[in-house]
Order: sequence, then structure tokens, then C-alpha cells
Amino acid sequence: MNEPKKIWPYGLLLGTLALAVLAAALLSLSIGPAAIGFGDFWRAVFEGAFDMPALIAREIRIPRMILAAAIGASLGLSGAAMQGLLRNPLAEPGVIGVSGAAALGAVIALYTGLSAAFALALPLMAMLGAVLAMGFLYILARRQPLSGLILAGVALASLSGALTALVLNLSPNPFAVYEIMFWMMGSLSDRSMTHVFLGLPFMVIGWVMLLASARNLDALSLGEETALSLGVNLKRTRALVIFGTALSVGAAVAVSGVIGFIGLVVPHILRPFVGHRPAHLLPVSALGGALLLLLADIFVRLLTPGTELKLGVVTALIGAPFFLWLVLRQRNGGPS
Amino acid sequence: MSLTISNLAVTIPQCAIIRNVSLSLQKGELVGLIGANGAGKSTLLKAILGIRPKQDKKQTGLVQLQGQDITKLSPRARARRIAYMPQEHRVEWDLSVRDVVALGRFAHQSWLGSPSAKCAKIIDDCMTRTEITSLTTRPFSVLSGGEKARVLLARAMAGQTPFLLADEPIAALDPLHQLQVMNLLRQSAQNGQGVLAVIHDLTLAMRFMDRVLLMNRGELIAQGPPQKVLTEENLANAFGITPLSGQYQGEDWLIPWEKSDE
Repeated sequence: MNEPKKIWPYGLLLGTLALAVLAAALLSLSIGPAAIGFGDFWRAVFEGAFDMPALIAREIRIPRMILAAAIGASLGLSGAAMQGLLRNPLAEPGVIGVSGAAALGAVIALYTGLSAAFALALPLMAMLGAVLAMGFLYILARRQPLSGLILAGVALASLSGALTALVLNLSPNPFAVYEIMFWMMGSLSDRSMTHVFLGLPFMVIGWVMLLASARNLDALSLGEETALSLGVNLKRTRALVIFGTALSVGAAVAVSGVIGFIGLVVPHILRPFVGHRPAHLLPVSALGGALLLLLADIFVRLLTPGTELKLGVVTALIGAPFFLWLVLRQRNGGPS
Repeated sequence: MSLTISNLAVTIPQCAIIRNVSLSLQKGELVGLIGANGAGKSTLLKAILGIRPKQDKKQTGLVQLQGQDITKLSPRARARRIAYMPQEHRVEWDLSVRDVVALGRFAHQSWLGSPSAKCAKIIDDCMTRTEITSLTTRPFSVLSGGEKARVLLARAMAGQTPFLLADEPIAALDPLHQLQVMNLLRQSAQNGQGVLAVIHDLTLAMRFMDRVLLMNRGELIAQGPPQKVLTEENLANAFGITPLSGQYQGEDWLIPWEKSDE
């Protein structure tokens, strides 16, 4: 018999996480080789100063912080929504192939040299890959029960993986392969405000779509038939989650490369704190994802200031064992 | 207000699950839907709600609520009029008992889903009536079968719909809880709800139901008061059994006794 777990009041949980995100964001701004003070950020943002510290603040530190927070939020939020829709704690954006398809688009841009000719070709191609793949998935699984969606998604994920491998295989230039491999590991270094302006709008639209599905995900926890009987529009819910994920994660991968495990781990950690309610889990996971990626990015910069470890490598390196530990602990401690 | 089903048929390729079923359900009556496994009872309930998750299922016929075609109603408007309690006692995430019951108010809340004081009162009331108040914060997964059934019944009651369709609400319950749930359903009917419940227990059907509908291989073969429908001939037809019956203090009773002779 397990005792009911301590559930945090929802408002308190949101507030605490938001404060933690804010603190991590400030910490993120303060880290880097150059000493930049608060005054420099003030001058960079509000006075439009053009001296070196202000430029570093505006062109390097601020975009990096915004992207870490926004990408983390996208991954956490869409992971929680995907798990709620598929009612499977192992679901994450990668499972239905959105990350893989975005990566494929980016890899094609790198391979064809498009990205060398035109810098924004890479994120644009990645977005295109994600949206095309999700549109295809939606049409494919439209008339199937939700379990069909997972199967189609898994097939799509392996297909994009195979096509990415094919591109690498055919690549005549070892430098291109090197560049592609490095990009795929996921990173936030050398991103600018351009990346923010390019990615953030899509992410925000995706967030709105995902959050709009939240309440229906609550009803879905009683099963598809009961949810239908409660007045849930299942088709619309499915479309909101799929395309919301496509937009937010597609934009995230387009800007940063593939960053794994956040979409899986964050909802999993936070679920008990919201009493397992899918609707409450969404905003909380967005904040948790932002927090985790900000911290991971700070960790990466502190640990190896010279040759930076790739962010995607670190999230997987820490995330995978942690996830394993979490799962084993829950299995030993009674029903999860 | 009444729920009228006319000429309903559900087919999958090369097989008719339900053939030409017509019936009506009035507010304030408790109606039992009986028939052997596979007779089409669950399919009939889902067809009334318009729930067809599987492909290749074709449905014809008309379901009307107070003369209005139910497929013309929005899902939300329909949910406010008909509640459904499925056969499986499953909740996917480890929600607390109160959160599960609160989902019964789903169609009455705005999309932000902040429950009003009125909703909270209705939820508390349903929990009191089903005697699950002591379980409020328990996770659903640790409950016994009987507790789960009562929680899901409270959830279905919380919608305060004019009609309730319940798929085997007393399956897998011990005798005490079977009687408790049957009494709750009768109470709901007395409060003006029209209740249609799939039931396999012929004894309880005889005792509690105002009317029973007997299905056999997708067809409605008899309907009316239990005494008129649960006859030796009909039971031999639909189930292949012979009942034992009699009277106790002026009430008819019936128990399934043996396999009937061919």
C-alpha cells in the first residue's frame, strides 16, 4: 500500500519553477570568457551601445540564454503533451520522428551546400523537414486509433534516420560529414539573435497549440471512448499535439540540432508533483525543460571552456543514467 | 425528454453486429440491456453515443434526443445530455480519486478548466452518494475493483446528464456492492435520470429493472417488464438456459438454473 504522495499546490509549483528558471537565466547570462556586468546588459538592451562588452551581451549571451530557455521549454512541453496524447510515459517528440525529420532537413541543407550559400537555409530546411513529416504522419494515422500513430511515427523516425545515414554515406567530402555529425550532436554556441527571431515565433505558436490541448489530455486519461463521451474532439486534440510538436520541436532542432532526453525525462520527473494530471503537467514541464536546458548549457560552458562539449551529448549522458535510476527506483517502490 | 433509437444497424465488412434495432428510453426509468456475450450490447451503447473508434464500421439509423438528431449536436452538447460508463475500469495515469470524479464535469467547464464552487459541490455530493469520500486523495490504481467501479460511477453521475448509459456497472463486484450500485442506479432513475445498463445478472435484472431489452445476435428479440421478457422461452433462445423462478413477498425472483435441453 503506498501512501498518497505529497502533491504540491499547483500555483506554488509553477511559481517556484518560474523563479528557478529566472535564476538560471541570470546565471546563464553571467557565464563566459569575457567579464560582462549587469551594466553592460543594460546598455546593450536599452541604450543600444556598440562597445565590445555590450556587443557580447547582445549578440552572444542574450540569444544563447533565450534559446536555451525556449528550446528547453519546447522539448519539455511537447514531451508532456506527447505522453498525454499517447498515454505512454515513454513517448517523447523523438518517438514520432519529428526530431529525426528536422535533422534530415538540416543534413540535406549541409550536404547540398545550401547552408554554405545561405546561412538560414539550414534552420529553414529543418523546419520544412519537421512540418512535412508531421503532415505526412497526420494523414497516415488520421483514421487509425492512437496506437497506430506511434507505429507510424516509429516507422517515420527510422526512415529519416536511414535517409540521414544515406546522405552521410554518399557524402564525398569528409569535412561535410564532420560538419553534419557535429551539428547533429546539438549545441547552442555561436547562435545569434537571427536564430532567435527565426525559431522563437514558431516555437511560441507551437506552445499555444500544445497548451490548448491540455484539458482534453486530462479527459483522455479515462481512455479514448470515455473521452469522446465527455465531449472531447479527439481529431482536433490529435492535430493540436502533432502540429504543435512539429512547430516547436522542429524550430528547436532547426536552431540547436538534436537535444535528446529532455522531452522524456522532464515530464517523468515532474508528474508526481502535479498529482499525475496531464493538463497541469504541460506548463510545469515547459518550465522544467527550460530550467534543465539552461543548467545543462551552463554546465557545458563551465566544464570545458576551450573545446565545448556538445549539449546534446551532455543531456543524453546525464539524462539516460538518471532516467534508468528513476525507473528502477519506482519499480522497487511499488506501482509507479 | 426521451432518447429514441430507430432502425439502428452497425456492420463491419461481411458481418452485421447490430441489425435493425429500435427502442426508446424515457427519463426516470431504469432499463436493463441483456443478452449473451457478443450479442451486440456494448456496440449498441457506443452506437447510441456515436462512438466508433474502429475503422470499417458502418452505422445506419437514427438516434434522436427529444426529436433532435444526435449527430447534429456538438460533442460537448451531447456530453451534457448523455453520460457513458465504460466496461473497463481503467485510468491511464495515477490520478487521485477526486480528480477522476471531477472529470465528470468536463463538458460543463471552460477550456481553462477551473472548477467552480457549484461543480465542487456536485462532485462532493456524488462522492458521498457512492460512499467514496474517504478515498478522496487515494491514487485510483491502488483501489479494489469495487472501489474503482464506484469511483467511475460517481464520475458518470457528476455530469448530471438526463441520460446515463452504463456498460456492465456491476461486473466483478461482490454481492454487497452489486446491490449498492443497483440501488444507486435506481435512485438516479427515481431522481429523473433515464438509465440504460448492460447487465448479466438476471436475478438483479428481474429485481431492479423497470424494463429489460433482450438482445440476441445483434437483434432486439424482446422488450418490456422483466416478468414478461425473462420467460423460459426467451431465455432458452437468447442464452440456452432454463431459469428457476418464483415469488417472494409478492415480488418475482429468478435465477439461472441449468443448461436448457436442445
